[in-house]
Amino acid sequence: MNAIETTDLTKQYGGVTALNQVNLQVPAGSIYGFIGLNGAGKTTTMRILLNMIKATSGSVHLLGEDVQHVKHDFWNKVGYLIETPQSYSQLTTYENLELYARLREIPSGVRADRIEQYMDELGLTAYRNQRVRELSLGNRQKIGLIKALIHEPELLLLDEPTNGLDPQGLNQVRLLLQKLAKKGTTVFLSSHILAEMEQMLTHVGFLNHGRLIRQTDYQDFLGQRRQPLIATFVTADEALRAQRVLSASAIRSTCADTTLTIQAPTSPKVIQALVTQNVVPISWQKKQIRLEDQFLAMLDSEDSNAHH
Amino acid sequence: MHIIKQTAIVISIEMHKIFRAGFIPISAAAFLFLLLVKHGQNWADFTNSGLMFIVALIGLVGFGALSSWVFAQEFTAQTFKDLLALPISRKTIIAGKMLAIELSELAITVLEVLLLLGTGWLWLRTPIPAGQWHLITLVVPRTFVYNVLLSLVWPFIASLTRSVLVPTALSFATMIVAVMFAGQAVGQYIPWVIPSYDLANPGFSSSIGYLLIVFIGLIGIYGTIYVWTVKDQR
Repeated sequence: MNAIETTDLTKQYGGVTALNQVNLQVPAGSIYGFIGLNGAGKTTTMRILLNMIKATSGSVHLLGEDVQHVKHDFWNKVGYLIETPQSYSQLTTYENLELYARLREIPSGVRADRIEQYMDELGLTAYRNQRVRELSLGNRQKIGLIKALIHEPELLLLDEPTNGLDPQGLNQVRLLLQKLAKKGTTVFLSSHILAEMEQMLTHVGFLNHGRLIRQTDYQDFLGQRRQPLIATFVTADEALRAQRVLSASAIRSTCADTTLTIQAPTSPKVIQALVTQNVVPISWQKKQIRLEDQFLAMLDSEDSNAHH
Repeated sequence: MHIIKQTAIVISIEMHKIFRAGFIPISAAAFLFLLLVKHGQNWADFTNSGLMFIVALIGLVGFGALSSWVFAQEFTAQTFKDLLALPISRKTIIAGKMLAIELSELAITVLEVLLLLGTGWLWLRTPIPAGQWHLITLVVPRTFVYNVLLSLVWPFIASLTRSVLVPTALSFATMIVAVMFAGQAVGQYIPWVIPSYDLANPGFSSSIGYLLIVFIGLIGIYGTIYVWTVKDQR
């Protein structure tokens, strides 16, 4: 079953198409990375999913229900964090969380324990009685995150959840999201900073100019991509000579000083070409595929297709 | 029953925020300061000054600022989006906020009357004369109802403009209008002048004026619901 399913979701503001026939399919229990540049339409999608704004056309089903026709208590199955989370600045961290937990109708018997537990997990306990206006952006982000999951929802929609977090905070959030996913919570998170997300994703969807250009299982996505080879030579001249050799065999590469990055090769073919010409590198290694590189490559090919 | 429980939750949350923002003590302190500055030498002066501050200053500007802030802060603090996908409907949130505003305004008014009586007694060293007490019990409840109804329009303007400044400035303008027209017959047809007009001429305002006040209150309630549920598509 899909936790999120949209059909031909389209949103127009005046003459501008912010979303164009987006068909999202987010499997239940997955951690789905919704990836796009700034202005691609990620936040608009999130707001439509949450029924905060209405789509021009198309439909949205969350947890099997049409969001246009759900009762109000349905929203206790969904937690969300949209854009930069904000809180009441004159209140303390604990007061903000407590007020929000009451709005979520969490029984008073469990409210305090749950708030303390999440504050502890995200390292906010020390800031418990500090007013929000005195907190750093990262800590305010953590408050937003706790507000999203304080009621233990089945589905979490997180828009740029790692904004402003330091490496320790990033790790805390990552661990928490992985723990929730293990318990069966579906996590749908959008970001334009990809490096911090790729370690936890199970599925990805790429949004460009309001169109969903691809969505897939993340491991399948990685498996379909050939890893470039990186060859290092003793001198820059040797690297340039190797590039010419490969070019003659129709193998694309880019040279930077003594390093040659060989695109989409089959290793034996490359090695054979270089050994035949007596240009042997001192080391070989396969380049780690980064989601960011793949995303940018996908955008390049989209753009060039559009020009053609 | 569930809606009543949810409304009570919203009221308690809003009361907490209003209390922590210091509206009630600030209003009381401002009232006390003005009362001490313009105290007069007898109970009649004391009562007239106190009622004028309660009706025209705190009732129009103070209530205006309070009711604007309760709604506008959700936009200025950007917490509005946190209230849009909750198990509590937007209409219940609006109702809870408005009731919290009214309870706070009641608390402020009661506090002001107590301050008026206490300060008067300390200053003049005599109990309040029956005539003055009668005036207070006649004017304060009536003008309180008018001011509460009139203050319901500020949440609409605050939500529409997403600011606290615009409605507060407008409420200040209404006070100036009230001072200008309180002594003139036309004042009984201008909603924001009616509380002051009523203070000067208790019970002599026209029924058209009272209907206009109710109309302003209804515009405030329905306008706020419209902005929160229909208009906001940004």
